[in-house]
Amino acid sequence: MVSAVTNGTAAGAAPVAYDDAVRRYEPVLGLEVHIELGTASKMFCSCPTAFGAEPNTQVCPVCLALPGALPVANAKAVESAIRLGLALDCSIASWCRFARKNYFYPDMPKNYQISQYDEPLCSDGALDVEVDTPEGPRTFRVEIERVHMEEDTGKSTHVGGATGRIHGASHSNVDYNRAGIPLLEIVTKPIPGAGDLAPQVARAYVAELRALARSLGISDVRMEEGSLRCDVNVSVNPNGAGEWGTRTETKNVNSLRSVERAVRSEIERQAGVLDAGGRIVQETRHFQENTGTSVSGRSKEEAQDYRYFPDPDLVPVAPGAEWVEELRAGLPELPAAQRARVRAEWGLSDEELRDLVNADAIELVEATVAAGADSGDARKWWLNELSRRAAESETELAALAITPGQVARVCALVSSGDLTNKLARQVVDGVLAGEGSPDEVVEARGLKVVSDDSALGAVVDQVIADNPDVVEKIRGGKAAAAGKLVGDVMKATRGQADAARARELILERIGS
Amino acid sequence: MCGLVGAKPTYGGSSRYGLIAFASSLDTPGPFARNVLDAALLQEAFSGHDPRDSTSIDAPVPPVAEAARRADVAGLRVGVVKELSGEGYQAGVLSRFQESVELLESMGAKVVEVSCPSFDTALAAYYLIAPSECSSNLARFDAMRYGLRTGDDGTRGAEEVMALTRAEGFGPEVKRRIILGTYALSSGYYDAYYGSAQQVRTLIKRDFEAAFEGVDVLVSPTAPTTAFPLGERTGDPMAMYLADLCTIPTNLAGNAALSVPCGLAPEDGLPVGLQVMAPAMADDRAYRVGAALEAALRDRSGADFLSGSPYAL
Repeated sequence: MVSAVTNGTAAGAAPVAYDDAVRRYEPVLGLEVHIELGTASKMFCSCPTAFGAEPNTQVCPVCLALPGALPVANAKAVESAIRLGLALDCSIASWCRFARKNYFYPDMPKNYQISQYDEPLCSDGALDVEVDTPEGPRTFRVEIERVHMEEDTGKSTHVGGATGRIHGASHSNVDYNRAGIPLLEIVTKPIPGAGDLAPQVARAYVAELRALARSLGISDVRMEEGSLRCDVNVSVNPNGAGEWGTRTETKNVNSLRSVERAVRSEIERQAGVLDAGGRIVQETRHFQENTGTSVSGRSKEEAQDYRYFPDPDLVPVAPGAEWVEELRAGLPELPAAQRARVRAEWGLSDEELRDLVNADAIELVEATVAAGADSGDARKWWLNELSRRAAESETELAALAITPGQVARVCALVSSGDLTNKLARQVVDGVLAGEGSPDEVVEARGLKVVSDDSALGAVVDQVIADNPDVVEKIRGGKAAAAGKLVGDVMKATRGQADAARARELILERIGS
Repeated sequence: MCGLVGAKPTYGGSSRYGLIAFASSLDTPGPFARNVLDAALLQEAFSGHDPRDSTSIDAPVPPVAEAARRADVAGLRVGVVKELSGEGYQAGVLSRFQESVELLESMGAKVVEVSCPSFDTALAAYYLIAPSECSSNLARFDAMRYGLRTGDDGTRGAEEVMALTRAEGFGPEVKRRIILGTYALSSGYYDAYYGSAQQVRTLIKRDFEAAFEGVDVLVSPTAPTTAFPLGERTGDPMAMYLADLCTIPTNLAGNAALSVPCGLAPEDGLPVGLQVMAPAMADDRAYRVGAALEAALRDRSGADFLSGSPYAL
């Protein structure tokens, strides 16, 4: 008997609700992250690497692949790769080569990409990442397969179509400014065992790698500008199957939130396909920011043959053991150690630490404390007032026009009583508006607290005279009523009075 | 074989920057000249390290002009490569070569026979490595940024325009090599072809190293035959590739070599070349021998022997 022929892949099957999917299927993750290095020049030529320049203004014969041009490896990029490898606890190859990855594409000038193939510079490392669970934070060890060096391609823009994609476009523009920007590709080993936490593990891994790259100072790692890009590999297998399923690779995952959503939606989709009796097609998928799901791209079942071979234009990279040890010794405090230290030094709870991490504020608070502020005050400023300002102006906290030293000065003015919190916020306004240092803003805007008794005394006398009924209450033993008079003093001085001193003066004069 | 002096300097002895790449690990700019000294002067002028070519060697330029002026072989140990003679070699080529070796001996060179067994596999290795690299190097000629562009009439996509342009722009021999190289690099074939060709290359290097422990230079005919008529072998690529038999080992090893005219083949009146091979960065040794032979031949015939060729201009 012949059974009814159904869609062999069940590609259109409805996804399974997440909780149900992870109860019955075991997800296995794999993450490929590309980090654009912040070197002054490109990987194989001396062109600048600044983001956002006019198209095709940062190009030369080498990165445009003019006949006769030759690549020369950027030593700083090699150093960055080694430092990241060391921070990820990788082995550093004592000898390795660049390889050509051959395929034709208009945004790739040479029609091959210089990359590394079977001889990566760094291999076999690990990165511990922490995810929140209802039972508290849990640490996962993500094993690193390799870190290798390569060059970025140009950037194509497809014009004339409805969606900006190549399908339906009338023509394409290529910007080669990005061609030849140094990239590190960091590939994990398969990550099984994350279970229902797989999306958070993926996110935490990318976040931790980003923090690591930032602490090493090798990249600005801005996902929104593409200086950190992530491809998410997911497979699922029915619980107890013992064998891993076919994986898909989701590209265009451009934020931490998208990493989490891409993993989650792919688990749901694959579970749906398998539930419907289909099979998973090995393919590239494209994540759609608006729907939080992905659409099918190119099938990898007929894998492209990249015809890798060692690039004969470049000499092998052979970092000496001494140099590698020098770089190891020069590594900064890494994010995990830094978190553990500030947590202990500042006595933070899990939540306080997490807030600090999520706000990317550890370094800023540290610098503020180093400039003399109390850690609690420093955290309060960066996490509340300044985070709000950053969000309002859609910029990163560190990009605000105020330095940790200036924040520390504001803290000092508040604790000395020279500024109230309200005045301090006005000072910060002034600093952010470019009016100068905190002291200059205080001076120019006349924001100093009035605690000088003679100046304050006159106001207090006036307020007492204006409120005989309240004065009567206070004399009758209701000291709390003084709050109304203090409020009037503050109003009269437009907030610049020292409230505590005003209260003392009021009670003194009333003689209660 | 064309009556000119030609040199294949040490790989990396001069910059490849600006040279249109064919096979990057083999490409070596070299001089052609009427005589050995001219070749030496030209080579010395363009040699030296270039930071824009990381495969160029950062070392002093071999003193080839001085060597060409010295032109003396007294006490020099000269090895005749056994594998580069015999069957398939034109009789007149072998006789002129033999006479030249005897001439060198008469000038005080110590001549011995040397065996380099891996040279027999050099041609096969070369015709895998060169096309492989060529298939990748020529990929940039894709009509996107410069050069010929065919079929861009608004109806075709970039990929189709690339294909049409490359089909029109490259000649049959280039296409043959691109296809050969693409095949040799394909997954599943890489180890058998490109991989083993690289191993052969290592064996050839070792043969040279072993030989240069006993002799200062190696000599052989430059080609198995005299020049064949233009276009004669285009229909038979293998026969054409065989013309490179003697020069390929040095090219694969990255060593230095010099070819000097050493007489006319009696049967066709065409010039025969003698090749002097030297270790990497010892180009000057090849020039010493070449210049000495050039002078001795001139002294013996009393004039430029090439003028005796029926093809002399």
